[in-house]
Amino acid sequence: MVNSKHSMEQAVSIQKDFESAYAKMSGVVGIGIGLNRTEDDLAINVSVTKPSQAKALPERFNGLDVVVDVVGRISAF
Amino acid sequence: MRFDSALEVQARVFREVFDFTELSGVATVGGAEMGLFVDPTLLDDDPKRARARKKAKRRAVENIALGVSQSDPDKADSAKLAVLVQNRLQLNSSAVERIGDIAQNEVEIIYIGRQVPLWTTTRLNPIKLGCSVSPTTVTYAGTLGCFCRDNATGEICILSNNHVLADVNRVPLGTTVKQQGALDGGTSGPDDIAELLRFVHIQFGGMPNSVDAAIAKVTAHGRQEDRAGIFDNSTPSAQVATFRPGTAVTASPGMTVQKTGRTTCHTIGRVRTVNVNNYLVNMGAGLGVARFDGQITIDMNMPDKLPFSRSGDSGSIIVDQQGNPVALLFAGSKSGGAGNLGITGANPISNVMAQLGISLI
Repeated sequence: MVNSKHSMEQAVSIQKDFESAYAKMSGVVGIGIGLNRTEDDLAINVSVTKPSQAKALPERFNGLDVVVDVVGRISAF
Repeated sequence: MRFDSALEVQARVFREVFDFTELSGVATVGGAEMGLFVDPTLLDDDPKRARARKKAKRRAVENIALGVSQSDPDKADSAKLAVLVQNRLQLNSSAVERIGDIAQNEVEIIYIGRQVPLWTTTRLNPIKLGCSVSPTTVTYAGTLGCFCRDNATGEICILSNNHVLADVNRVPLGTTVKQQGALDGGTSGPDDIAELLRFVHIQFGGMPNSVDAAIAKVTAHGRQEDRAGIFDNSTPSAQVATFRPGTAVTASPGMTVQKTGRTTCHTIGRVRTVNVNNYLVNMGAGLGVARFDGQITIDMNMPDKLPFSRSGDSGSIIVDQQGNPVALLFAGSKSGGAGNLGITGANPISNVMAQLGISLI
């Protein structure tokens, strides 16, 4: 486990507020907790289907970085 | 040379060295504009004539495959004809020499060794974690994750996904399960190893699911079982870890994990995210999207850029470096994550155990 600035509990609490704001947005296919780009803190991680949808998301939310993955379609494997 | 030129050279080699016949007007995979070259001996209906032709000409090019390699994707003229050879003796054969002449030595000759089917897709004795399974009533194949015990009855079962063992709620309880699975040529009856005992119903219409999980009761199959070995991709496969069923581990971002599955066999990954909510998964044609909450996602973590999983790996047990169970693989994308090779979705194993009422063994 990375020694992050936020605890998992804090991050999950911020995630809840983020979900209230963005979960219904078109193209969002998953919201979780991952690492930020410098890997020294937790971050909100959002999966979207298309690159254009990434632009509609904020870069930070309530003190956490927002990392966006453009994943296309998620299917049962 | 340029990519197009490499394709032209490839076509010449098929015609002149392989004696293949071009079927024009056939769409080829990948969209490149070229005809389809086929071995006439495989088209010949007369087996005697086909054998004779094969003997005369084909020995020289048997087990040679052609492709196009590009050493630098940004350089348009860095394409070469790739010659994939299964037998070391062919490296200096006249056929390979002729191919080199036609390509004006812009060739890359690669020894790939004898190509055999991945062990995970074959009928196994002993049955191992990560092998191909399916119900006897379907046409696909998924992965046997691990063995477990039904807490209610004490019966020994195999663990996989609902969409593998129960085809998303649609396979009746008691249906037999075969190893290898249907897609890999398993035969109903002789290859049966279990029967569907229980699955967690997958809900649609925006209702959150926690797991995609099912168990099948092991039946008398007459084979050995290796319930602990986690094996790699080598031939013969070597054990790389020992499954430790007793200690379920909670995933955290950055954690190194591994799995062995039917399609991509043994791969190493890194937990990308945890507590993923509103994870929207296409469950198959005509079924639509199911929502999963509390999921784990994983991307690949290997020097040789390979995806952590692909279709058919569903049901794989994901373990940490020590072999402790972490998650049950069930979904994924083909892009995003490390190397843009896709991100795999998995259910936390503790939820799988609680929802099915099982203990891993």
